Amino acid sequence: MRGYRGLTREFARTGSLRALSLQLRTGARHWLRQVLRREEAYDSEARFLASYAADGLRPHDPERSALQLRAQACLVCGLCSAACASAGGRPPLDPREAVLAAARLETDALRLGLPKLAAPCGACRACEPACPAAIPIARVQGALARHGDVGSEVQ
Amino acid sequence: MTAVVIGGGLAGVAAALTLAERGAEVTLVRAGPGATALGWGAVDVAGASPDPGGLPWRDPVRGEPLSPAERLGFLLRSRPAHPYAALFPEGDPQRAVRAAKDAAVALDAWLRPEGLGLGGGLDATVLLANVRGALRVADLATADVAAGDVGSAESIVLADVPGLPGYDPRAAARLLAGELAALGLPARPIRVAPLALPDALRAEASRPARLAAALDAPDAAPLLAQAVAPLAAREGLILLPPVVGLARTLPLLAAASERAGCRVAELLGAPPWSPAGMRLDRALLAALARAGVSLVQGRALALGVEGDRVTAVELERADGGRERLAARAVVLATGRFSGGGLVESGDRVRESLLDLPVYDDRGRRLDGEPARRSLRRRYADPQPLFSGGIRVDGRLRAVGADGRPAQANVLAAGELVGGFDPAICRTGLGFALLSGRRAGEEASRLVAEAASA
Amino acid sequence: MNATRSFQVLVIGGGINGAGVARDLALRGVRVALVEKKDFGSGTTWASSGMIHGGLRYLQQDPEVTYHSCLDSGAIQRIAPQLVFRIPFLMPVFPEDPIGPELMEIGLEMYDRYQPLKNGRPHTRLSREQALRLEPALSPRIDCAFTLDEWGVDASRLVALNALDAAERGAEVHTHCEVLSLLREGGSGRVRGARVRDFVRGDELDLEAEVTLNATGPWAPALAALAGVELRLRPGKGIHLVFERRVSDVAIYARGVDGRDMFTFPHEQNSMAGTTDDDFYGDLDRVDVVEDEVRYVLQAMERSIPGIRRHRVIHSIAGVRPTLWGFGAYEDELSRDYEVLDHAARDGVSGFYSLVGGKLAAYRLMAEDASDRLCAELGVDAPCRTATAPLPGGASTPDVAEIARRFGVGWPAAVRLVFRHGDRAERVLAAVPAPRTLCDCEPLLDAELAHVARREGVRTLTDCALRVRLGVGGCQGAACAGAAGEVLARELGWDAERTAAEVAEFAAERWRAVAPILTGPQLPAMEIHRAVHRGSRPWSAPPPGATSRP
Repeated sequence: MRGYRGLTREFARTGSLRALSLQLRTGARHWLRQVLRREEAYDSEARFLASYAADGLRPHDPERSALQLRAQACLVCGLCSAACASAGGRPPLDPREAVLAAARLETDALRLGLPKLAAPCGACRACEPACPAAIPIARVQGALARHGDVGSEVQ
Repeated sequence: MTAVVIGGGLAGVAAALTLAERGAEVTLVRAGPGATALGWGAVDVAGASPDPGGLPWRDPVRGEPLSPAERLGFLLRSRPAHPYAALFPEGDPQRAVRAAKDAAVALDAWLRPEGLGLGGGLDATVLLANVRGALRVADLATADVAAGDVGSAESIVLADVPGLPGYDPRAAARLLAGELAALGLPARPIRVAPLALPDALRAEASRPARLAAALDAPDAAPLLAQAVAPLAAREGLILLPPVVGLARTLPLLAAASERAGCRVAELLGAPPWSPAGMRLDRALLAALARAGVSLVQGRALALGVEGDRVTAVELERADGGRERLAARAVVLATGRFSGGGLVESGDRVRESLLDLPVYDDRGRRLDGEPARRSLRRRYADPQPLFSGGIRVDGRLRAVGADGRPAQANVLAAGELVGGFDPAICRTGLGFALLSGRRAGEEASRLVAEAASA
Repeated sequence: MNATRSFQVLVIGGGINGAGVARDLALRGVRVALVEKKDFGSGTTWASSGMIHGGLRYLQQDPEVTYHSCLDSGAIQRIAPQLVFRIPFLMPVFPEDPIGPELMEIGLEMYDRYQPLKNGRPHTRLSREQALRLEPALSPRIDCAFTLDEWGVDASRLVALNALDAAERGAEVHTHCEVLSLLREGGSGRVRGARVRDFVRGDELDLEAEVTLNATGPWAPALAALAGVELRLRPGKGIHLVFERRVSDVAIYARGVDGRDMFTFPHEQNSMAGTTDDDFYGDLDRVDVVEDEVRYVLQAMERSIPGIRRHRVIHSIAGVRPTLWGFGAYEDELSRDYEVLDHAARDGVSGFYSLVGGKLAAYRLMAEDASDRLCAELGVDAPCRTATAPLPGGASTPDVAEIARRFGVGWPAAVRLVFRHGDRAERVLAAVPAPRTLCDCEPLLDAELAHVARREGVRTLTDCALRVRLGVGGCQGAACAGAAGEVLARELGWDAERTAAEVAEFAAERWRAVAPILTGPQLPAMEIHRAVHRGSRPWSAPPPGATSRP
């Protein structure tokens, strides 16, 4: 009965007959399902992920989370872009754009159905020593290409 | 017999190169770029700013522009908390100017072989315009921007590069005219003219880093010169947006200037794009390599202390490995929050390596309590938090809470030393240069003492 | 010399309710004027969580409210599909929670019945292991967890679109106009409109109307007092903390030390944590976040997400709800219902109505109800079309990749543009010959800034923070405010001094929002912000803090 704790108190707070009726009906159905142990023939975790896949939700990726914690230190200074350009790099997303885009990729890309990037950047890592916040920018670029869907046009 | 310098901005590099000049063995530990790389190229030793709390650039009575020596004198007299007091305890501006000139000569010598250099001199104040048209007072500036003194220009042309973000030359021209008037300087013609770059270059304009890198190409110099030449005016000054190469700025400007027959310089940058600090930073690192200073990319974690001396620096390299450097003397040039010299952790502000006491420009201690305790909510108010740093004695040794050096062989230079707000006082790079050089001199003495002991 | 204009209805207050009413009336062909003393939604609306939720909590009190909320959430999705985004909620259940998991699930099963009204998905029940796999940042102490479906919206953009639509359909809209006094027949009779002062132009204007609606939210009592009417509210302050980027892609419930429900939820490319609810007695024009509130919210979040303090907070938001008056109840328990008050019947002041209470999710319903009442008085017989007529840009969703390619802008910028402008994105991009990004955080295109200045009535740089999300990233405007100022200067004809003042004002506003949460990882960013804005202030510009607005 631990699962039903608070029942009396919540019951007492019911505000209307309609609410009461709804609660009783739903509660009874729920209790019956529990008692009869009608096993739901679905994997709730998989169902959850599937139903939100179109909105950009993905299974958790520890590498991406760790990268995001590093990427959040970005000072928007642009020193990385200068280093990249200096080294002759021309990735579809500048290092600065990439670090900032990493914040939103998961949320927009799949939802709006963008095509995948061909190659993120050359991974020469010229950008990394240039970053005052020590963000592993090349890894962010790599993660973007792997996990996100990025537009393929080059500016 | 090694001296270890922690921090690779202007202060740290100045210290390291000074040590190297005096024959000391020196290693510089650098975690990454800091305030130097984010700066705008103007090195102001004397400081002047329009902000309340900033020093004036004109004599309040006579109305004439103050010379750097006069401005420095003003600063030394009216800001006793400024760490210049540690360098120049008698408050003699002439001595300070001589020290600054020596340091400037040294910095120029370090930068020239790397394609940069220092311009301006401490005999006259220069006025430099940024991409928005706002004016910055400086006594020294890196050579890429130094030739851009608008005060001495009889006419000014702002070159238009369509598509460059953050640059509206017409608005800049209007603001510049207003700035000159606000400073009481005579009006002069300021016009905007298009820079006829070839299409391939013009296409890069939307990403200034790429345009600048493209102009570094060997064949770009004549193209730029050709585009600039039509803008020339006699006794005039042509100001280009800050995209004139990342590595070959001086040759590019020289070629353009020669072809145009008048001064050609770069505007100071402003966010979102400002390459001068980056060029300075890069040139300083190259100068280190040229001088044979060993550079370790990594973050200092702790200092090993034995008795009243520091004997080692524990660091984590960029590749993840740990290292322990033996040290006869240590120079801390770790900057403030953006450099990592000051951090707030566990809700307390602290100096990151030795837990040295941190003071604001009113003498109030900032370490040990949260940063927000010293914040003023009104934007217009001075912010003690951002004037905070450690204190040093007359020999630039870092001092503890009792006012005496915590260790006998730990020196400090640059913005890590507090007592001024760089945003308002504007002496950040100037102090970095002077204190870095002095710290290098002191450190080499310490190393020599330790050697003879 | 005062200019005078005549209308059928004058709506005072450009928040979601005022703008909603203006739109509704305009769609019915009523001649309406809307005045707002700052910019759209800058009172309460902008500070909301932007959740157009279905009202799960009302199931216990009155399922009618839930029904209508869900219905209306569905309506908002239909009229502005580009502005809404789905938010999966994760509700962790702890052993010490007062409500057991079975009871929780019954509640969610009840809610499931209403979800189809708003295209919502049914709940799922996750075991402890499943929940931790989905979101490892969750506290390992949980018993189990439930998921739940809600929708979020960009509230500021929603208000602006309502106002824009109203203007496009003939309404006259004035921002930065404050009501100085109400016009009365014979000095103290029927309310016949208002005299307003335009802060940007500096002149005064008389707006005459047959009927005047007070839709000023928490300012309603103050405005009603101008007509000698007493109106009581229990204004409730609520804050949010904004993180630099997403903490999680799901929203996570957290319980405060006092048992209140709060959550950390994804909002555009950030996450936000909140909210509080405290009776507010201060100055409505200067609501600031205080340290107590920040620590209260973070303490709650830490219970559900133990590592929350490692995430960088970049901004804080404070707003005040116009909650209906009720004596003796805690702030949370006060009704979120709304009222349309006819002051003729209630106070003997004719021609004057007030719209008070409510919540964001119910705005369209409130506006419809209020419009029905106003139209009844005016004798206008036209049906309400706000549930079906799409908001500007809502007719279709353009192909982002194609837009990015055609106009040569980066795709992140194109995505944001489509989000805010929908099918009008191309029109926006055509505003300047070669659009380019001003700021990477958002990312914001200069074309969009030019467009909103030209066509959407943006008049100050500070407006842009809400309208186009200028300066909302980690840099808080260090990298973009100056450049943005220049674009606006070109469009609005500002001189150099005015531009510098606008940029300084913008920087000052950001400082106000950052100072309460300035700690650890945000310190370097604000050190730079300060060096940029204070350190490059033009000599010719007024000192910071010296602006023309009170």
